[in-house]
This record gives sequence, structure tokens and C-alpha cells, in this order.
Amino acid sequence: MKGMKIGDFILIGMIVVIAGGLFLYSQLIQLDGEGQKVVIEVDGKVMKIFDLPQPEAIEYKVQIDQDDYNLVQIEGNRVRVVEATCPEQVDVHAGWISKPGEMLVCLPHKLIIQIAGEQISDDEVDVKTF
Amino acid sequence: MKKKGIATLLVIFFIMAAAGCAKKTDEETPTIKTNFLMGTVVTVKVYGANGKTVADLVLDKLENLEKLMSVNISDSEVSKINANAGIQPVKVSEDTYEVIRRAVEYAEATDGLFDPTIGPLVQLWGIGSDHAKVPAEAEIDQVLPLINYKNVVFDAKARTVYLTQVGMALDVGGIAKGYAGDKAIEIYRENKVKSAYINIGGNVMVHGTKPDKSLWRIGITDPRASREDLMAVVELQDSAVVTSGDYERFIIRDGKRYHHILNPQTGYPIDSGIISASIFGEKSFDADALSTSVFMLGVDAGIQLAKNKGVEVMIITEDKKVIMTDGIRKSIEITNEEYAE
Amino acid sequence: MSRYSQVAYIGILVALALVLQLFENMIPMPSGLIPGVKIGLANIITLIAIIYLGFKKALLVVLLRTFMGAFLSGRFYVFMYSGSGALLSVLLMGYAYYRYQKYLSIQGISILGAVGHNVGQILVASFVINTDLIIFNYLPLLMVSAIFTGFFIGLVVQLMKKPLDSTLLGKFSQG
Repeated sequence: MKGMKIGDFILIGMIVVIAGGLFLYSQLIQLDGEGQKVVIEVDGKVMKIFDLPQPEAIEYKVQIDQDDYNLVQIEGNRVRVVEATCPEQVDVHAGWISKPGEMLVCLPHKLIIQIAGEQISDDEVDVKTF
Repeated sequence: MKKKGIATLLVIFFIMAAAGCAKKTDEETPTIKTNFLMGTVVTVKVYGANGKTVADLVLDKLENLEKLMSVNISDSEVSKINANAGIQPVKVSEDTYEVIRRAVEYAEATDGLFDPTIGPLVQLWGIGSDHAKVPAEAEIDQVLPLINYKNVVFDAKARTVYLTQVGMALDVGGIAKGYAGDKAIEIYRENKVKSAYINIGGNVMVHGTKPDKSLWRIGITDPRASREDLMAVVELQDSAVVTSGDYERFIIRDGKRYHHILNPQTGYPIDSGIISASIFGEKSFDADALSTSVFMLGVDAGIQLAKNKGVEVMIITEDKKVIMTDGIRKSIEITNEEYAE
Repeated sequence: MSRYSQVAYIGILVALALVLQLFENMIPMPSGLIPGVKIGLANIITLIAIIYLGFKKALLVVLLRTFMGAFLSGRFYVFMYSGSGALLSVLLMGYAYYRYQKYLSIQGISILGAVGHNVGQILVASFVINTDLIIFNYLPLLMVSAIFTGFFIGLVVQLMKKPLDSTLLGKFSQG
């Protein structure tokens, strides 16, 4: 490496330290439950949990059995089912969901995709009028 | 020199960036305060660094308004007006004057169905207090002549209100809540709050959107279930949502239910076929007055009045049918299948 | 070098930066939530500009290419994101070049620039999307990757030093 100087190493060291610090901090604040998650369940069993938001678009294939599947796409703060072998395509037509309590369902596959996270109340409303 | 300039630029940049981060985090912390005011539970939620200060300002204003207008406080301005009925005009503050003045305007618009001089009747029934009863017909007949909004005399220059007959009494406790909602929004605006709401005993006023720019989700209570149960959710921003229902305050005597929305012309709880009317509008005062008015007028006249006044409405009739104006349909999601349009 | 030659060189550099940027856009990079995450080939130009034309002209080159780049791509938000990154990057690199030449090699300066680029973008993104999660979730990764991309860019610039020294640009900066 042509002409690397002492400052270079100091700089790299600082970057690593700061990056490491930020990363550790991010792990800490996650414990507060700040992060939302995508929970994918089939037949009542939890298949996979993803954190939100996701920096890169993720595709996850839920393989129900030999022929049936649901292709889940997670991008940023939202989730959708891109493609599925569900007869009525309810989950695909629903489009993106992004708020806690919202869900995508494919009944024949017994698949539920939910967003879990900070909920204000069971009814997910902020305030009630009466 | 060149170097110093760059250094300063960098420093400024980083300070701004850091301030930007701090500011943003602050903007997402809500302050929630609850208090018992104006005869009901009041909840204030304000996002932002000045949340606590603003919440206190709002609650103070409400306490202020209560002191001016509550009929349960013997030296409130309204109580003084009532005590001087048939005797002399009473000078009042701007807030009180405005509330009574606008209440009488609504009385004119509803031909007296909504009447702020309904005080004597409310006192007679005592619903909501511990001496609630079903009055005798004779008692009601005695009180009815005292209810007449046309006997309220205003002097705008002197800012006085005068009830012309002895025994007349104003009751603006309900409408004062509507007024308070608008005052709260004024306070939010003055203090540059971008995201907040206030819930005065079911009168909801939302300001701005939520910090993540999504709409506020307001639950509408199921009129025939517990208060925790909803029948619909409406998503709005910068709006007032006020509901009048026959389920909020009532007494049951001899198996019959008597709710608190009294018809000033018959003296008995109104029977219009409506069990719940929710108004969605810009101003909380109007929404409040109109929710009571619509409830009284019944479905057709009620919808007409709402349209005339430029607000949206959702009515639930006694057979759980839902009727709503077109403007609000896209914002409402009925969550209980027992209710349908 | 006359003023006209300078202007011509600035124009060439801006054009080259734009070409590099377009070329880079064709390389598939996992960008996900934040657009503008890239190797930063255009920083080669920025660094060259700092070395051979001085900070002020380098700043001009950066501003011009950011503006034109956003204009060409047809989306305004690109301007915000990459503009903030490029701006912070040139500021840091310019400062480092004048102050710390003794301690930092070209690669080091370039690494600083790459980090600045990412930090600038993240800050703007977190402000626009209204979340500070981005700062914690992505920045660490981006910063570490900046070490590598920065080093690579720096290496490229260093390799170009000799050929450039013998052109008009080189004589200008020495004279």
C-alpha cells in the first residue's frame, strides 16, 4: 500500500470504534421494545420473525407444502405478499401493511402475517369518542 | 483564512445535524395528562419538547373555563346570571359571552330543540347527580315555560347577559366542553405544537397528524356495549369528533330507561329513533352543538342540518342501522358487524 | 492556466463525475430504504479537483454535478440525499487535505470523504423519513464499508497522480 500514513490508521480506528458504539447502542434501545416486528405464523406456529424497519428489501418464501407457498416481501417499514398460491389471493390483493395490528391472511394456508409492536390498546385506536 | 472558514463551516454543520437529531427525538415523545375537569375526565396528549408546558396550559385554560361557566360552582359567571334571572343583567367575560351567544344561535337554528336555557329541566331530572329522578308531570309542566332561548337578552357593548324571567337558568355545561376543545387547539397552535389531541369526556379534538404523519385513529363507542367496545374507527387529522348518545348518562326507573338528552319542548328525553350521533367537523364547539341538535332532530332533519352547517355526521338508529354523510365514508371503518349501513 | 482553461477543466470534471455516477447507477447495489448508497466513483473526481484545482473550485464541481445529476435523473430527492452526502464529503476532504496532509495519505483522505458522504446521506434520510432508527441500524455498516470504498477510491486517485501531473492540471497546481 503506497504511502499509508499514521493518520490513516488512527482514522480507521476511530471509524470502527464509532460504528461499533452506534451498533451496540442500537441493540440496547431495541430492548426497550422500540422496534416493530413482522411475525409470520402458519397454523398457529411462529415460522419467522423479522425486525422492522429493514434496510434492504427481503423476500421470504413461506413453503406451506410441496406445491403451496406465499412469497413475503419486507421493505423498509412495510410488508406484503408478492405472490402466493392462495386460491382467492386475499393476502396479495391486500397490498402493503405497516401498522401494528394490521395483518395479511391466507386462510387455506392457515397463514397469518402480522405486525407486532407498540400498541396503544387492543383496539389500536389513539383515542375514543363517546 | 481559508482553513478557519472551513473549520467553522464544519462545526456549524455538525451542530445543526446534532440539533436536528435531538429535535426529532424530542418531537416523538408524548406528554399525557389526565384530569377531572368540567365534570368529566379530560385527557391531553401533546407531542414535542414543550409538551409538558403546553399540556399544563391547556388544563389550566379548562379549569378557568369551568370556573366561569359551571352551574355547579355557585359563584361562576353562569351561576350569577341564573341567580339574577328576572332581576338584572350580569356582566361576563368574553369566553362566557361567546359561548352563550353561539348557543342561542344554535337554538335559533334548531327552532328551540337545542336550548341553553334548559337549566331548570336538567336540575329537575338531576341525571348524572345523586338525586336523579323521574319528575312528576306537574313538576315538568311548571318548568317548561321557563325554557325559552328568546328570553335571553344580550348587550354586546356592555357584554352582559340577562334572563328575563325569574326561575330561568342557563345550562351550558355540555357546550362549554365544545368551546374548550377549540381553545385547546388555539393553545396548541400558539405554541407551535404539531401533533396533539384532547379528549374532554368523549369530545375528541385532534390537532395535526401523529408524529409519523399518519392520521389519528379515533374509536367510536358501541352504543349498546361497554365503553371499551367500539363499533367503528375513523381516521382523521385536524378535526373534532363529538358524539351524542343515549347511553352516556341515564337512569332506569321501573324498567324504563331515561337518558340525559332532554327535549325542552316536552320535558322528557327525546325519542328520535337515534341512539348515537357523531359529528365530524373543523370546530369542536359546532360539533358539540350539532351532535346534540342532530340527535334531537332525528335522521332526516338531522342530516339536513349537518349538511347546512358543513359538517359530516354518522347516525346510529335504534335498530343498529348506520347512516352517514358521503364526505366521511372513506375515513370510517365499521369494525362491529352488528352495525351496517 | 488562463481562466478559460480552468472553466474548461471544471466542465470536463463535472461531465466525468456525471458519467461515473450514471455508470455506477447501472451497477446493481442493494439500496433498499436509502437511495444513493454506492461505491462513490464520483468522489474520484472530487478528490482530483481538490488536489489540482483547490477547495473552492472542487466545491463548485461538486455542486454542479450534484445539481445536474439530480436534474438528469429526474427525481428531486436524489438531490437531497446525494447532495448532502457529497457536500459533507468535499468539506471534510478539503479540510483534511489542507490541514492534515502530513498525517493522512490520499487513501485516508478518501476514506474520510466516503464516511462523510454516508453520514451526510443518513442524516438527511433520517430527517426526511422522520426516524432515528436509521442512524443506528445502518450507519455502523455504512461507515465500515466506507473504509473499503474510500480506500479503493483513494488508490485509484493515487494511481492517476503521475499521469495527471504531466497535464495542464498538474502544472497549474504546482505553479
